[in-house]
Amino acid sequence: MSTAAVSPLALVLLAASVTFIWRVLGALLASKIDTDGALFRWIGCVSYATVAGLISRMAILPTGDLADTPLMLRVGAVAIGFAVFFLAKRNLLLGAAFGAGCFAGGLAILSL
Amino acid sequence: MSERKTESEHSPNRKQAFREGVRHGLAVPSIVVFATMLGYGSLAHANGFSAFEALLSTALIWAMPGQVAMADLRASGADLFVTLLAVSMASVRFFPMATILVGTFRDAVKHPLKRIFIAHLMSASTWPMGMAAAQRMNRESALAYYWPVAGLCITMGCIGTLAGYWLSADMPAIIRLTLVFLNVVFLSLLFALNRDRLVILAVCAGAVIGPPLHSIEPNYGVILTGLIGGTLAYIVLGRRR
Repeated sequence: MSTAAVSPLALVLLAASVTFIWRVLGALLASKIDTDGALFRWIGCVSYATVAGLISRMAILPTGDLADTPLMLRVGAVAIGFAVFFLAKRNLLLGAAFGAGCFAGGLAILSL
Repeated sequence: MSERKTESEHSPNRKQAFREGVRHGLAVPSIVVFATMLGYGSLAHANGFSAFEALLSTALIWAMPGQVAMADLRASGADLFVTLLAVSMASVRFFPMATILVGTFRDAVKHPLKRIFIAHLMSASTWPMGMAAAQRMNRESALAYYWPVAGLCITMGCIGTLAGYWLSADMPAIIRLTLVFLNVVFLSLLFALNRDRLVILAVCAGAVIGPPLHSIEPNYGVILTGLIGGTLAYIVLGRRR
């Protein structure tokens, strides 16, 4: 059956259910697991690595409109964001603002 | 992943933690989430969803990759089973993430539905913020911090979806791209807040192997990244504690 055969509303509800399953399973396991144990620590490592991998993929191999922007500009702007973040004593707002600002500036120069 | 003794000594009380959560929730994450969902709103509009359906998908799915997969695959005419499998696979990460986040907060939250609600409000932005709070505050305060942060993020996400649905066609390309890029910068910086060596190693391992694994195996790359990167970090630093 094609995805277009169900109404958009039904598709949204189905998609929400198949996402919700993982959250519920996690919450259920959390009640049973030993939070000081080795298994918990390993699952923690897996979650951190998963989210970090997702974000680094968004920077290096983005999908959608970002894919048309130069790789060097994206990586460079993230690096500048990090530099400002650490220079400003771990200030998230400043780091993010400078990173995004450099990216916008780079795009503006490239499109001139 | 933190020691319980040191954290309670200079931990803010619940009221202070709540106020800090409101401040943090209104600052960067809300802007970033708003910006992300602005992009999703415009995609949903382009792919034939109504404004209500777009809003509902943000509130109920609350996972950008899954939402994009849903909107994208519907437009490409994929089989329903394939679409739902892709949406679900895009969110497998919530299983370990919820285990860790709810596990961290479980002494402060007894009701099972409340625990599931913690897991539902979880996202790539709210999870690291909740985890970071649990490292520097006691569990009750960290939870009092998590609720406003997570609640404001999903609210701003819903507003952003609607704004994107109605506005993004008129937005200049540079602004639209920069809003999407803001996510990448902000989410990477969130990890730089961490000081736990095991966490830093797991983050670096995931960040390094994520892109190559994704190009080899686009469907399961995210899950493989977590399993391989996380296990490597665990073997190197996590076994002796």
